[in-house]
Amino acid sequence: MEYLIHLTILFAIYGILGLSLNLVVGYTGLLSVTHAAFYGIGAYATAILLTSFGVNFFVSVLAAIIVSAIIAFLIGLILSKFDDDYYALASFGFNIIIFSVFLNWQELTRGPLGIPGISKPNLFGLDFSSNLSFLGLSLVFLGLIYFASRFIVNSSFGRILKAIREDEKAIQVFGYNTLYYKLAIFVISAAMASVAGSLFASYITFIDPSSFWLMESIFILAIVILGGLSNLKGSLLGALFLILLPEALRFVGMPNDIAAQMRQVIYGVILILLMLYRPQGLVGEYKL
Amino acid sequence: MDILPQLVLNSIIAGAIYAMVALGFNLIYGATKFFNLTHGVIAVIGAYAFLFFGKTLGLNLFLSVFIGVATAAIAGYGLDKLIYLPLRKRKASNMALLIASLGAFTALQAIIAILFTSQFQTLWRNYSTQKIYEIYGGVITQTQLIILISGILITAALVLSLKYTLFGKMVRAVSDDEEAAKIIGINTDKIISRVFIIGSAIAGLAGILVGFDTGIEPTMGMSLLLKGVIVSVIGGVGNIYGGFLGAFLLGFAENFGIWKISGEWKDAIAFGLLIIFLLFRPRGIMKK
Amino acid sequence: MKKKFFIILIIAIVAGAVYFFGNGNEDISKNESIRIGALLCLTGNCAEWGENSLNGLKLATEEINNNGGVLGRPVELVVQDSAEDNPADSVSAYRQLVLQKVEYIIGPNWTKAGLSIAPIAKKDNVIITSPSLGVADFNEESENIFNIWPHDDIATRELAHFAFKKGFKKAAIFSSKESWYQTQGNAFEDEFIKLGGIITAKEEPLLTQKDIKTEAIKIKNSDPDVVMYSNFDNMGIMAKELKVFGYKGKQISILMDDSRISQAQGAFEGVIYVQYAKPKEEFINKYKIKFGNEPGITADTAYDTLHIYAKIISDTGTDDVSTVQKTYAKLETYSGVSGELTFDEKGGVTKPPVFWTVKDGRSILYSE
Repeated sequence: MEYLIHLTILFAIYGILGLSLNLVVGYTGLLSVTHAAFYGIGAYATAILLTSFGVNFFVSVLAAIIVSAIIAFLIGLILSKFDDDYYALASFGFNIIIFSVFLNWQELTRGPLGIPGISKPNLFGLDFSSNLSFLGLSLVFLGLIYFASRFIVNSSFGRILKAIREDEKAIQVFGYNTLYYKLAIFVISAAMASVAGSLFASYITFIDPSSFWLMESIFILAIVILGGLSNLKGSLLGALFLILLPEALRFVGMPNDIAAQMRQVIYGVILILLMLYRPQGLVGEYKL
Repeated sequence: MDILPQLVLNSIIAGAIYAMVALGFNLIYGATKFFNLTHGVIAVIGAYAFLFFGKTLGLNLFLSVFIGVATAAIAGYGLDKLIYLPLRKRKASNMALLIASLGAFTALQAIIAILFTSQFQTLWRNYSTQKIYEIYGGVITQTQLIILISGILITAALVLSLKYTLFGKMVRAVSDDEEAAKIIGINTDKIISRVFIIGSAIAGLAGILVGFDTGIEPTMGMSLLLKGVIVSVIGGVGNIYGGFLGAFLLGFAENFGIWKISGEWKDAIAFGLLIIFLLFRPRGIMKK
Repeated sequence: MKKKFFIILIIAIVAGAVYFFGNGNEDISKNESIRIGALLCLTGNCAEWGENSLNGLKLATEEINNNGGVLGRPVELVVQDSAEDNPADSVSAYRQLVLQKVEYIIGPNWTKAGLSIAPIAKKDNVIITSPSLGVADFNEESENIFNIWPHDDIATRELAHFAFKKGFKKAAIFSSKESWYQTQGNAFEDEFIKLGGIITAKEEPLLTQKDIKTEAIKIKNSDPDVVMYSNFDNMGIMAKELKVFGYKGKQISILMDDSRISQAQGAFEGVIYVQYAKPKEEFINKYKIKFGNEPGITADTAYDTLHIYAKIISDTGTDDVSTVQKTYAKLETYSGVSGELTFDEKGGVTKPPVFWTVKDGRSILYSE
C-alpha cells in the first residue's frame, strides 16, 4: 500500500511537470529543455526556507513560485531571441548552468551535500506528515494545476499560443506581441514546475543537485511527447506511463546481475518503438 | 613544464577530441537535421570493441583499433537502417527522432554495461607510464600526440573529400536541401547511410583515443556528446571548418577558464559559451 | 474514442499487474528461505560500487548456503537497483523491497540514497545496513539502521596527522563535488590546517570530468609537498597527469583498489594510503576463483554484512526483526574480511585505520 501511495505521489509531481511543460512545448511550440531547472529552484527554495528559516511549507511554495518566475522571466527573455533547434539548445545550456549553480553555490545550497531533513507541510495545525495525507495534498495541487492549465488552454490567450505555434509571423502581422505571450506562458509554466519541486523536496525530505540535471529535463520532455503534445490528459497519461514502466519492469524476473541494466534496455527500446509506431504520443493531436 | 605552453597544449588536446566527436555529429546533423543523441554512445562502442579485441583477446594493436572503429561504424549504420531511416520514411518530426535516439542511447549504454560491467577499465596493457614528448616547454604523452595528429588529419581528410570528391559534393547537396537533392537523382538514403558510417567511425576512433588517455566506463558517452553538440553549435551546425575551430575555441575557453576559476565550473563555462554564441553569432564562427 | 479506451485499458492492466505482483508474494517463501534484500547501486555513477557489493553478497550467500544456511533455511538474495542518481528512484526501490516482505536489507551504497531512505526506513519493520555509506547521519537516524563502513572522517584525520608528522607542511587536495569525497577532502583540510600545515590547492571537479589536465597543472604549480586524493573515481587519472607533468612529490589517499592503481598507469608507485585492513587473503582468493578478478571496493564490506546478518539471526534463534535488532545492537565487535570492526552505540563501526603503500603495482603494508 505504501508503495502505491509512493508511486501516486510521484505521479502527481511528474503530472504537474508534464502539464506545465506541455503548455510551453505542446501548445506554444517552444522546445524547452530547461524544466528541471525550475523544478530544482522550487525544490531548493522550499528546502532552504523550511530547514534554515522554519518557514511554513505553503509560504515557501509561494516564495518558490516568485523566485522561479523571476528567473524564468530573465531566461525567457534571452530564449525568445531563438527559434526551434537553437531554442532547445540554449534552454539545454541554461539547465546546465543552473545545475552548476545548485552544485557550486555551496553557501546557499550546500552543494553536493544536499539539504536533508526537510519537513512535511503543516497548515493551521493540519499535519501532512503521513504519506496518505501528503498524497491527498499532492493530488489537490495536481488538480489545481490541471484546471488552471485547462483554463489557459481554452481561453483566448490559449488560442493565441496555438496560433504562435502554427505560424508566428502570421499572427504578428495581426498586431499581436508574440514576445509577451511566449514569455508569459514560459513564466507560468516555470511557476507550476516549481510547485512540483516544492512537493518533491518535502516528500523525499532530502534533495541534492543531481536530481535536477539535464536528464531530468529530457525525462519530462519525454512525458510530454509520449503522452501527446497539446493534450493535457496526455501529459497525465505520459507521467503515469513513464513512472509505472520502470516499476513494472522491476517485477519482471531477470538474473540479478543484469536486471537493472535490462530495465534500461527495455525502457530505451520502448521509447524507440513508440516513436516508430506512434509518434504523436498516446493521445496527442499534434506532432511537433 | 612551463605553464602557458602546457595550458595551450591541454587546450589543443581537448580540442582535438572535441573536433573528432563534433565532426561526426556535424556530418550527421547536416545530412539529417536532427540531434543524434546516440553519437556519444557510438564512441563508447568503439572503445569497448577495442577493449575486447585488443585487450581481452590480445590481438594486434592496429588490427584492434581497426576493428574498434569498424564496430562503431557498423553500429551507426545499424541505427540508421533500423531506426532513423524508417522514421524518416514516415516523415517523423525531429522531436520523434530525438526521442528515438534517446531510447537508443539508453538501451545501448545499458547493453555495454551488461556485457562489460560498469567497472572502470583501462585500454593499455602495461603498467608503466607512456612516452613523453616535450614541445615548446610543455609535455605531451604519446597518446595525446596521436589524438592531436588524428584530429587534424581526419578533419583535413574530411574537408578535402567534401570539397573535391563526388561523394562529398553529394553530401553537401543533401545537407543543403534534401528534397532538391532527391529531385536531381541523388539516392539520399544511401548518402545518409554512408554519412552515418563515416561519422560513427570517427566517433569510434575518438572513443578509443580517449580510452587510451583516461580509461573507459559505460557512462562516458554523455559528456563526450554534450561537448560535441556545443562545438557544433559554436562552429555553426553542419559546418565542418567551423566545427574544427569551435572545438579548439571550446578547448581553450575551458582550460584557460579553469585556470582562473575552479574546475567544477567547466560545464557551466562550456554552456555559457554556447549561449553567447547562440545569441551573438547563431550561424557559428564562420560566416558561411 | 476507441483509441483512448484502449490506452486506458493498458494503463489499468499495467497498474493492476504492479499491484497484483506486488502483493502476491504473501505466503510463498516466508517460511522457506531467509530473504535478504540487496538494495545496491547497479546503474549510474556508483554502479561500480553496487556491482562489487553484489559480488561480495553472492560469494557470502554461496558460502552460507553450503554450510546449511541460517537456522536451517537457505539465504535468498532479493536484488533491487537503488538507482542512486535520483532519490525518488531509490525510494521506489526500497519500497519495492518492503512490498516484497523483505525485512533484512543490505544497502544502499551512497549517501544521497541513504539519506532519502533513512527517514522512511525509520518507521518500517526492517533492518538496514549499508556496506559503503560512510555518513553518520544515515545510521544515527534510527535504531534499525546500521553501517559497516566507518563513518566520519577518523581515517582521513589520521592521514592528516600522518602526513604532518612525516614532515609535509604543504598539501594539495584532489577532491570532487560529490558529497562523501568532498566531506573527506574538507576533513583533511581542516585537520591539516589545525596541525599547522597549509593547503596549497584544492580541486573539486565533477566525477564526470575525466579531462583534468589543467587541474593537475594548478596542483603541481602550487608546489605542494604532498598531494592528497579523496576523489576515488578519477584519482588514477590525476596521478598520471601529475606524473606526466613532472610532479615528484609524495602522494597520499584515503581509498585505493587495484582498478585505480591500474588507472594511474604506474603513477601510484609509492603512494601511501589509509584504508582499513586489506580484505583477508583467503577472501581475495575465494573471490578471484569465483569472479576472475580481485575484489573491488565494497565487495568485502558487503560480504561481511551478510555474514553478520547470518550470525545475528542464528544467535537470536529467530528471524523476527525486533528481537534480532536487540542482538544486533548488543554486538560489540566483529572480525571480518574487511577488518576488525568495533560497533559504536549508534549503529556505526570504527576500524583501526591501517596504512598501506603501493610497490611494483601491488599493495603492501606500509612500514617506516
